[in-house]
Amino acid sequence: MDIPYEHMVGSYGTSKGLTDHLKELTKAEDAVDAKKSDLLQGTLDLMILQTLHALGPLHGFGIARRLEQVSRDVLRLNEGTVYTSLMRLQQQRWITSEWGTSENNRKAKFYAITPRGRTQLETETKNWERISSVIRRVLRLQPEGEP
Amino acid sequence: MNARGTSRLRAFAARLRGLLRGTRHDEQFDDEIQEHLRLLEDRFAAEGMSRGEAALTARRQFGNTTRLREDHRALQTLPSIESLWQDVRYALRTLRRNPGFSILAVLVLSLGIGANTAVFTVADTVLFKPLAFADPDRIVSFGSVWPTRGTRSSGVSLPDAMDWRAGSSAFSTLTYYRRSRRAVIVGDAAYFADVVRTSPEFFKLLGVAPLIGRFFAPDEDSGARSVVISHDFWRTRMAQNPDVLNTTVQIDNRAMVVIGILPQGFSYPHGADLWHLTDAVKKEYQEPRATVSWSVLARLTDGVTIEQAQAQLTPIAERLEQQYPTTNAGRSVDVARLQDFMTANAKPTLFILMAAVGVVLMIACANLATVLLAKATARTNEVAVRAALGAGRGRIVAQLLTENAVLALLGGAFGALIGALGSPALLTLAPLDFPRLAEVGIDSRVFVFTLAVSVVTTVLFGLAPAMLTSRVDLNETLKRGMSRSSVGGMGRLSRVFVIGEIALSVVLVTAAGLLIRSFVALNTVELGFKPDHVLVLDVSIPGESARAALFYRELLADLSTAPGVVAAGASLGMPGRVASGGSYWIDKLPDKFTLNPFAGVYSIMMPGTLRALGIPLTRGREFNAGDTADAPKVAMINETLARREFGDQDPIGHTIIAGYDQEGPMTIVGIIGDVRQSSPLQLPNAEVLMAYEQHLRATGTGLRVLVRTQGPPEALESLVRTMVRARSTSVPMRFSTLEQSLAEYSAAPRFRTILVSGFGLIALCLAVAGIYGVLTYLVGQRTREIGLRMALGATSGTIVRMVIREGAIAAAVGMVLGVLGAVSVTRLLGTMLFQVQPYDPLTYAGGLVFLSVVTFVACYIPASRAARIDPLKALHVD
Repeated sequence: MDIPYEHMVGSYGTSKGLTDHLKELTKAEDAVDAKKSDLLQGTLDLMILQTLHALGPLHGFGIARRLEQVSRDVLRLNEGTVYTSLMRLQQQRWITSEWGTSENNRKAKFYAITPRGRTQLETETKNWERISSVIRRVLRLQPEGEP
Repeated sequence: MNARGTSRLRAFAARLRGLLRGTRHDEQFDDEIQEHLRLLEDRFAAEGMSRGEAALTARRQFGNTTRLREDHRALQTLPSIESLWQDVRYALRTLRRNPGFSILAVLVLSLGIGANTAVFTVADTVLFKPLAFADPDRIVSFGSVWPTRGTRSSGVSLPDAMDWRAGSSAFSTLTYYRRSRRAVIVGDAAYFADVVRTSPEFFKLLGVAPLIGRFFAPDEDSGARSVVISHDFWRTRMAQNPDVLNTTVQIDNRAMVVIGILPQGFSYPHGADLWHLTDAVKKEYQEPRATVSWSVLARLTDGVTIEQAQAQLTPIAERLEQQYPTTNAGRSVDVARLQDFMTANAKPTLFILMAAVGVVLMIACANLATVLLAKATARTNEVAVRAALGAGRGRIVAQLLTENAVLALLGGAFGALIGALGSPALLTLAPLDFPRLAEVGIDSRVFVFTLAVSVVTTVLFGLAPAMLTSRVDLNETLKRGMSRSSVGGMGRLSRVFVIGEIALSVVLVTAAGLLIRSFVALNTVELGFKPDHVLVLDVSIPGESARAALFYRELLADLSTAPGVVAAGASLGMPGRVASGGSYWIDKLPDKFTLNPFAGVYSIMMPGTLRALGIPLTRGREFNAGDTADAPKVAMINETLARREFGDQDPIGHTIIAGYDQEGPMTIVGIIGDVRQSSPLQLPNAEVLMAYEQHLRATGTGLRVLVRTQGPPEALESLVRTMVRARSTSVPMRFSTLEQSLAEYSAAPRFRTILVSGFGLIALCLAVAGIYGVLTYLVGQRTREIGLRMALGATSGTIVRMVIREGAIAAAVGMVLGVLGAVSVTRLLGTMLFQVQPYDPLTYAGGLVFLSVVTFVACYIPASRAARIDPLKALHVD
């Protein structure tokens, strides 16, 4: 019989139940996190690529400011996630990085889009436009029987 | 690869790069984040916030930095390699904590793996490595075989070979050769050398290039008197003179011109010194078809397999049987890859050696496994804690296996060292006629083998204990130590290992016993002559045969009266070196007859040879000074021939005709005792003995002088040398003893027997140590139970019997399995056994008795220790 988690605190009990239960919980949490972050991170990747494509090489702070500007505070996210995106984009070789000096003469890491990145941007942009046009069409449909 | 696959691959590559980059990247990332935070702070401060507030807001807007740092770290590494590295470090720490066990384990493993490596080094080069020729798998060799008689010969008939080449499309090139010992004079010095007569394509077929000079031209004939020299001969006898081309050497008093030197390491046929063209070139069909003394090599045409070639040859051989019934009756041909041909003799010996070391290693692994199982008891707490912290079973097994793998790899590393040192030792013991011994050396194949063996040993000794150790009942263990069922499981598995060890050692010990008996039989077999105290001198007299006959007659007369000489004689061949053989006919030549090269042995000798060799004369007389070239032709026969052809009748007075030469019928004047002519292993064949002086033309001028001495034969060498020099100054001489030349027949058996017996002994010790260890462990585990029994009234005798019964059952089961295994395996020993059957009950019984006695002692010690357990102390153990 598996004793539920809440009753385990402070007592010895069935160790097997405890460890298994812990494993179950952490697994579930990871799954939800994964789904939520996947979608959001995907869009963030795209926005960063577009920013670098339009404005040229930028450092992390600059990218964050630009995104803030463009999205007009609609997208409210932790700025740190920009760096998670940048890590992933670097892994896929869609952007490269280089250490340089910023406007106020401090050392900063600058990111720039690569030709591969530009191709990826093009592909993703086309995807988005296709999806959004479909959604637009679907939303224009009237419910049956109504004018 | 689709897009998803490519992106996965890129991620993997990035992780790998990150792993190799180290921690500097983490620090840089930290700096980047800190800078970003500072800039945010500045912005908020510029908007009017206080420093403290700005910092807080900046942090809030940025988000969780720790998470970010962790994510960054996680992307920079490969989790599997990280955990492997962790396991290795942990394993090294654990091993360091138990130095006694670790050192012992590594020692046992390195000895076991080292022995395997040493044997493999030799076996690999001798048997498996491709020959150092061009495309060696396409080179084949031929042998004659008489299926109904059951005989085979590595020599073939030259006209037959020509017919095979003409009648089949399987061979693109074909070459033939014949080797013999000849007198070679270089400058002033005379030597006996191994000279090979060959056809022009010999070197081209093998695909070797000359070091200096050239080889024979394809249409060159023997008139050109060209000779090719081996690297060793050039180095030792010609001082490695770089201007050796176009100088002359004399072979049998014919001047030959040196046209080329072979590269170092080329040695085909094994040990040959000089090669020249044979007179048979362009006259191949005129060679007697009955003579099967030629060696033939061929290169297969592209796309033809050996089986196809054989299929083409067999009908041709049958056709030749019909065409030439006199010579080819019953004769067929065998074609095989040259490498298989060369290694056929060495194969059984090396296979049995490899099996023996393999068995020893397996027993060593089983021993280690039982030790690990015993130690598992002490590790259950550690494993339980790990499992409670969330480690999956697979992870725990992986960590335990890593420990064992580290042991095995350390053992493998030292084992490779031991192997490197051990293989030269093996080489010194090995029989000299093993092919390619000079090529043996450590190479990459050996390292790969050692690594593979280490991996296999890890699995063998590590897997079962690892799986068992990781299967702990967390609840039980964390509360009060090892559960009973776990001990039971480990005890059962240990018993299984012990049974296996005993069974394997029975097999090995039995095989060793059979080999020992064969070797003893070989050394005590009745040879028919006395091999001790015989000095052998190879000599070849230049000039014509009459002069040679006089030389030998006078030399022998002087020798027989010399001090320290018991008797002296001279003969063409000698026991162990049959020079000639063939058919014979009694009283008259039949109208239709067939020639059989193995019907009888021809011995050509001077008077006195029988006494020199210690061969008894059973009837009639032997050759004497009166049997000269002009006197009536006489012959002696041996008992086998007499029995075979005459039954109970008296052969003396009958005539015999031998296929040796054209001298005609000889009167039988004497009968000698049977001698094992070819080798100590083969039964005596029929023998026709002829007087040298009556067969001068066919025999030539080179004989072996045989001197029976009173003291050690070598002591008379200088005396004989002086006597020969006094008569002829430039005659080449080579001295040896009869025992030395016969030793080569026992070289391979001795090699096998010593090594297999040694390994058998080691296996036995290991198995017995195993049973001792397991019993000790079980007694330790059941201390409480034994104490209880004693408290309840069991006597020490009962306890002793109880423990011994445990061991005895395991040993008995092991022995039964071992006997079954031995019965099926010793069958494979086949030709290695001499005068003993594979199922020889005496050997089996002896081995089992020996094993039982030693096992009993090994069981008795833990048993007596168990009987001395103090019940009070035992019951207090918690």
